[in-house]
Amino acid sequence: MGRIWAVAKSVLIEFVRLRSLLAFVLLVLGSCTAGLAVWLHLGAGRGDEKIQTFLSYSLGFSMAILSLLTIFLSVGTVTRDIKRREIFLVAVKPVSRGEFLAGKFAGVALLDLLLLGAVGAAVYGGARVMQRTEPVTEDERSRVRELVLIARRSVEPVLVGVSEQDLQEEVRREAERLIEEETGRLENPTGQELAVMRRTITETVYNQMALQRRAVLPGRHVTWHFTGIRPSAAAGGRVYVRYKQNASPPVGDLAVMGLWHYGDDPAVPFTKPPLVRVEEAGAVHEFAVPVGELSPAGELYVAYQNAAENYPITMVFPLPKEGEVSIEALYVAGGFEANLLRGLGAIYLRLAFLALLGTTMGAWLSLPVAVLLVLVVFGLGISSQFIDDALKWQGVQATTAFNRTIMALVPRLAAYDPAPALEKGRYVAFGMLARAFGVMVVLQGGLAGLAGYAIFRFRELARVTV
Amino acid sequence: MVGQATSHDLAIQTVGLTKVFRDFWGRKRVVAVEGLDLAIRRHEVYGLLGPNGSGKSTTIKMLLGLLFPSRGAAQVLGRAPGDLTVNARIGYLPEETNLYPFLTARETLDFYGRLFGLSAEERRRRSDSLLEMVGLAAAGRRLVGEFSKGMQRRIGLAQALINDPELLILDEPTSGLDPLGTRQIKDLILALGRRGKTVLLCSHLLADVEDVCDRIGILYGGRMQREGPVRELLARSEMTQIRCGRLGEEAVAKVRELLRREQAGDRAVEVETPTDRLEDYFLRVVAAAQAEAVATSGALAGAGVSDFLTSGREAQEEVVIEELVRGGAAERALHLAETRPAGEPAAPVAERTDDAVLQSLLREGHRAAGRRELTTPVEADQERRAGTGASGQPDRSLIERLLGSPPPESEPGGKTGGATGAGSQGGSSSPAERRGPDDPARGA
Repeated sequence: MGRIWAVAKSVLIEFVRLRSLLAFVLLVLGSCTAGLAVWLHLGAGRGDEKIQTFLSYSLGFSMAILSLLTIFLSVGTVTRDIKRREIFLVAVKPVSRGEFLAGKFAGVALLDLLLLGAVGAAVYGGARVMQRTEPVTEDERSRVRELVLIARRSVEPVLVGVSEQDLQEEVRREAERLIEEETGRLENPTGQELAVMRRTITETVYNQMALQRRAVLPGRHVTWHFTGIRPSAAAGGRVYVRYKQNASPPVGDLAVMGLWHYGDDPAVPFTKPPLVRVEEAGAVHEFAVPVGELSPAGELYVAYQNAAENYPITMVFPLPKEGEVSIEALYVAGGFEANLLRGLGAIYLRLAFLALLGTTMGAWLSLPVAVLLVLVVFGLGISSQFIDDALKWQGVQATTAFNRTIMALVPRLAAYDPAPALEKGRYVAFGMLARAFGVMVVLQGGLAGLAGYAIFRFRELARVTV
Repeated sequence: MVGQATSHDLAIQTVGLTKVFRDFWGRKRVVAVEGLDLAIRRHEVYGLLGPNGSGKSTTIKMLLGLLFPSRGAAQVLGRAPGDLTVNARIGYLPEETNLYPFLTARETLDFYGRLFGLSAEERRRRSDSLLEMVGLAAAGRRLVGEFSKGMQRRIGLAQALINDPELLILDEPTSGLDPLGTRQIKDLILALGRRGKTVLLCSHLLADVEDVCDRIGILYGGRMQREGPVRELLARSEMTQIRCGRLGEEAVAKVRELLRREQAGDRAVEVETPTDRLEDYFLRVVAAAQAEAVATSGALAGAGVSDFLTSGREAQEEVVIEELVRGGAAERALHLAETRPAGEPAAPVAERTDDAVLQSLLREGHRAAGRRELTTPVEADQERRAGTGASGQPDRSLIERLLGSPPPESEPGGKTGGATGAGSQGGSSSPAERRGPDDPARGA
């Protein structure tokens, strides 16, 4: 351990003594936090929105800069040792090559920890300062307090009376019928054409049928069932229902009226006076629910009744999309500080993965090649969702092949990005951190690290000098 | 001698060691080392000589596990090269110092000390001692990257000694050093050899190797061309060298005449005034400047050998022996021999040092008698370089005897040595003796 620490410490000293790089990094990180806060302060907009923008951009920029720094530093610190032959004097000491690489990794990881700590402090300080200076009205102050600088967990409901299994079966039957019809119309279809057709028809049928069940005709209602709502008593025990509805046919800017019932029993909601809300369709809204309405097990039933009895408007709860739900219950699960720490933890795991990849690739590749390789992995990781969407239309086989080969080795970095959650005051879950650690760092990083180490272990460190 | 040594006695052994460098397509490009059989005994100072590209550095890199042999095998301290337990007992100074430029001298030593698992207190103590030894105590807080090449060599040497190694591998150790530093390094190697370290010295500076090595091997084209003890390889036993104080022309003529008669007049006789070596002259000038405390940002004169650079009984014996040499306490020598555990063979270093003791005592006897020695030209020159040869007053009695004058009244102890062909007997030519006493002030 002492040997690993010796190598790690040398990496730290190396970075600190590279004063120009250190100054550059601090300058960039400073402008991403303090500079951004000042810039937002001078601009127009609501206080809570400014803070959300600050959180989103400062974390995003810092993450990008630290990622690039980690890539160049981790690759550079190993390749430079080999190129300048400084490794000769380390390799002939009682230090295994594994310890050498572990020390280099630990050094970069420690450096990341320090820089990320500075970023975290700057982001936290900036957000708190902006909380005092930016909100003008009490509503803005309340929104900052209740919606932004907070950690709320989300629970998605199921529709009462709608079985997902039945829905899937119905979709399958209808899709098979349509596929058969469509296949008969095609002349000598290729396998890929058939696959695309099958996928398109199945998705379309599912969307139609699911939307039918989420559509609320005038005078009718749907009931949603939430489970597992456990608000933090320490944080005030607040629960919110957040939703979005579309009107069919569209009503433009016109407000529509809806009646909301809630309680801990599917029958109970209608026994009490409803919450009447008149609001714009197509926008996101939310209302608070008293904690006393929940069952001890954390269950909540929420019913929506379309009050537009006198005009033919159907309200539809849209299907959930990636990173967005049409109706959810939010409850306060903790404060901003702990949430920010978890978010920084997620960023740190990303940096650790890059450091692991960089040090082990640098151990057997030259600086430009290793940097390029890690940058490609980084690029694939952050654009994995985009690539998924692009490949989806190339058929199931292409998507499967991509997922089973390249994306098995490359982490889906967007899935471990805490910035969107922190910006919206959403809880950064430990489950996500555990997945990031287990899958990204241990499995994917470990695999790449082992491969790099195996090559490094058996390579000659010296070169031809005769 | 080496053939009789068992593998246990060998610090380094290679059998048919071959290194072929191939290109990307696997085609043979260069045969750097070919069929090298090397056997370096423990406690020996061995010089590997050869011109540039002869395979010296490649051999060393294979011994250290930085390169892998294409054929053949090597063992270092009884194990395969690169073994971590072996690495813990090795000190290495590469051809180019290759230290981290962003660390200070002190941090450098601390870093390498940590790699050997030394405690913080031990690292500090050894760093202090080594910095003092290599003359960089005042530059301990300066970045190594700001050092001159010579200063980098010094700190490089210090890092090679931080673990008190059994085996020291030095690749061109005096490269880039000024004469003062060169002299200090050579003195250090001699002192380390005396303390029982095995030293593999790789150089193309012949004077360096000649001054400090017990045995040398000459590589050329990746093959061993010649190998053997320095004295044997360099001895010119067909000649005799006589050194004495300044003689008048008449005396010179008489000597010439005598020598012509002795050699039947068919061989050349050279009589000339010897000159001082530039190295010695330079060192005197620098020593004078240092005595006047002239300011310098460079390295200062080193301070002897770090006290931690020793190992067990051998060192203890050495200290006693040095005391014996200085004080002449024969009884204590006897006591030392008696206290050696029964059945345990004397360590080679002790044997060699005992020989040195005898030679030194003999020389002391000569000095006491005011006598000079007769040596072969090579040995005389070696003695002069090592600073242990007879100097000062000429051996008048010998000259006078050669000239036919009566000898002095008394000759207390010891013989004068043969006048002809006595190079190997009369000269104090063992490597240990050539190294001379461990005098810290010698370097300056």
